[in-house]
Amino acid sequence: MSKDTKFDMDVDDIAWCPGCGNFALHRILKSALDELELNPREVVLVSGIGQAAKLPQYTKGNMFNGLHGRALPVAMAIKATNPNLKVIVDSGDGCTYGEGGNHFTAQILRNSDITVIAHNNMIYGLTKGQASPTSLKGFKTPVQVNGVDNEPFNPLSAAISQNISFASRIFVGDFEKSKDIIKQAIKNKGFSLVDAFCPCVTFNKFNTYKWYKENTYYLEAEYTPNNREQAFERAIESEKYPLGIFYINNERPAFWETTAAYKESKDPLFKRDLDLMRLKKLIESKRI
Amino acid sequence: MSSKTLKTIVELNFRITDSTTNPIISSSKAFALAAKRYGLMSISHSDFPSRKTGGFKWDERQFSSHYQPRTFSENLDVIIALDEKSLTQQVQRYPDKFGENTLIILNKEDQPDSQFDPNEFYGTNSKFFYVPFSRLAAGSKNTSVSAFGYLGSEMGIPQDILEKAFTESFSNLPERHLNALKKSLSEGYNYKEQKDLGIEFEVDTEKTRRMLIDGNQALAEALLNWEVTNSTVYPITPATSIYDQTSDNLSMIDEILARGGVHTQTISEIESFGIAIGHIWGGVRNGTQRIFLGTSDPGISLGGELLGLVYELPMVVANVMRGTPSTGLPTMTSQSGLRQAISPTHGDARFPVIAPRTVDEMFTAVPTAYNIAEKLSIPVFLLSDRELSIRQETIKRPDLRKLKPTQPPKRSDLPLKYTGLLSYEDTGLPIPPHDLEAIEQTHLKMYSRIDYLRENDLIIKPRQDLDFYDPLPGKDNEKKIAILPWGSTWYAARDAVDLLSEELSDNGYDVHLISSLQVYPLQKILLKRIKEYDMIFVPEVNSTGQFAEVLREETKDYSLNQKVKSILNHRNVMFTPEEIYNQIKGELMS
Ligand SMILES: Cc1ncc(C[n+]2csc(CCOP(=O)(O)OP(=O)(O)O)c2C)c(N)n1
Repeated sequence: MSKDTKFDMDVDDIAWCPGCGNFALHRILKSALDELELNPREVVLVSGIGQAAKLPQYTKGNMFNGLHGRALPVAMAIKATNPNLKVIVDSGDGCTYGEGGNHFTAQILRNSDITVIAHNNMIYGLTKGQASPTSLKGFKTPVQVNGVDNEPFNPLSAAISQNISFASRIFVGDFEKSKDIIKQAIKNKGFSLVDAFCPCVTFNKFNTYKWYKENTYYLEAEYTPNNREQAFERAIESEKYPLGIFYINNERPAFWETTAAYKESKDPLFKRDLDLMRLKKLIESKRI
Repeated sequence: MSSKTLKTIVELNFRITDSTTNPIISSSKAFALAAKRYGLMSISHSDFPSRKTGGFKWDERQFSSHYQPRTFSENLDVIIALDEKSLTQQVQRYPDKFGENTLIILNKEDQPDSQFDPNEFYGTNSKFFYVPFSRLAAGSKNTSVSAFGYLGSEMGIPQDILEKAFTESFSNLPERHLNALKKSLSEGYNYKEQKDLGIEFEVDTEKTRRMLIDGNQALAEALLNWEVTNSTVYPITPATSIYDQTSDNLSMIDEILARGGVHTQTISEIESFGIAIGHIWGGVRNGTQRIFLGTSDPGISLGGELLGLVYELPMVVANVMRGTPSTGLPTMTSQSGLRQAISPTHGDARFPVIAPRTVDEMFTAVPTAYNIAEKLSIPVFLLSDRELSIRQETIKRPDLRKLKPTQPPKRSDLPLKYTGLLSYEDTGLPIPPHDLEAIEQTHLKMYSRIDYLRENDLIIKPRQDLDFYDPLPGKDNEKKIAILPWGSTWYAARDAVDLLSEELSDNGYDVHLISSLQVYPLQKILLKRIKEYDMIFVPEVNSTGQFAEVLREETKDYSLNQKVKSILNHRNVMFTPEEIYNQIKGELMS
């Protein structure tokens, strides 16, 4: 069970509805950070806009709560500016896969060294209940009056198809296993995705705690997450949705590692002085 | 407590507040519906957090039996607090709303012999009453309903009218819950026999028929009436409700689909704008089909780029402006979107902008917007704002039959120098320019269409009642000043003129209100009017004085720099008439 963590903060007014899956995910994440012996000062939570995206405001640590859909590029650059930080993106499914969908692909390809936790409630919560990219076919809302007719977005198969570094799915109803997966995601070097099934109790009366429980199961103990084709096959299962770590690929370098700034030194940029002598030499060398 | 008559009123300023989970806003809407049927006119505004339930919130109404209110009284007449926490917050945040005559009704059991002095405790000097609303609502657990039952009986609204309005408004509840709700309503209603506040309303029931409608509903109904067939949206507060709730409990989307139109919810505003362009490029442009896109400032920031390379795009884009900065304050208001609407895409393109000033002006603003868009074949921006979007007002029923599109304007009416692309007859698709020079030429023509609008007013009919107001006609003081509001700031400015007129007249000033639905480019009539004043005050809910800037630019008259004074409020809330009054008085009398 959850206990007090270094990341707890006194907040007297949390905007989530009673019973919201975000509370469970918040406890899991704080506990995971605590058990990894991280210090709030070395963690940066980056989010977009949405109910999920409010999580950093309720958590001790550094944060950037920015624009709808735009968490990923900001997070990538924070990490590349100071690789000593643990950078975690925490936003909703609409924000991460819809509004910010192009960044999702770009950052997987770039292999930014960040962890992305997408609260997947299959709905837009903050704007009061419209379909999101992950809403299931036929799902009705006040604006999808005839039901959703799109295919739902599958973040895992999309990510695996682009050779992501770490792909996983959790259901926030299971504290211990979810915490363990999030810990591994944060420890992984490279782009780590945690697609978190996280019920919205107010606007999504279909994908409830019960529904998630009945429609998910864990990948078998003997499943090894290093075969991309096999991972893809498991990721497209939809009769019941597998939970666990689908795929890990540590062969690609992380984005910051490949940038010239870190060839000679691993110091974060803010610790460095401009080498004016070197600049002077360079200018001199160009004089004829 | 004795039941003596406290007040006989024709006007009542009322607030209900709560910080628990009572649905006060839905209940307040039901109550306003009953009050309207009884013969009372009203307006509303409210504040609530961005969540479904819980948290500090309030709903305010100004009721009147004799005239249509425009703004809210400085002091509350009655406030019902459903819990103590929300009352504390009210007093802290809005100390000026509490006066000696304010009746504070707190949800609490009566404590006849208590020494406790609530005024001392809350820091007020008002009149306190305790009514046990929670007990009265024990059956339904909806304390706001017993509160409105009680208020209704105090205001003399017949019980059957109240019950009918609540039954209709909560018709989606299962029967058992609905019955419990009705019981709470009548428990509240009958409590008057035990404790009477003694409010009495003089009601004149021979009123013209009015409808209770909010700004977004009015916009949706105006769009449907103007036969809009296609829409595209990415959800964003406070624009989203345009799509899902008209005043008759219909949804604009249902209606559009029923008419065989297309509605798409997109995954971003970039997609929304792209889809709008695609619809038009594909043929939705012949004046029998119309496309609409509703969003808020962040959505226009994002999708606006797509308007940069369009040759022909007769569509209306509504921006329901919300609090800035950026994607920040969805439950607050602002007038920050004007310069963005004029030039949302790149520095060279300019688009026409209209800003309805009142809820009922939505019905004429929509036809105006489409007429301009179709005549010039370019996007027209319609600026509303968060306050207008949720403001429920009892408006005169518009004559919708008169507001139907007739013959669509023909683009060939435009002088040659403005015309853009012609279309193929068989497919309706535009004949595209195929080389760079031709593309450039076509764009230049598109940008210059705004000049056509400068030269030719395309407004259907000026709204005399909104465009000009002289409170003391016949007076002809030497110095003349004007207040020139745009959008919903009109309401406060209009009342500020009344507050100022006598006093300023005694000091040698005439004060008028001048205003215009079209805010870019400025119409000739407004440009002419401006010249008649020595000083023009422009109140705006933004921090840079955007409309004042437009005025200076459009008149190209640099002496206006001296004449035009901005009154700014960047707290992301509506002006009150008193604020405008104080600023102008300060400026003139100092
Ligand atoms: C540019 C822009 N467009 C739209 C919005 C409105 N908006 C805020 S959050 C949100 C989606 C919320 O859904 P999701 O990301 O799934 O998070 P949830 O609230 O469900 O946790 C939308 C559409 C915005 N803030 N900015």
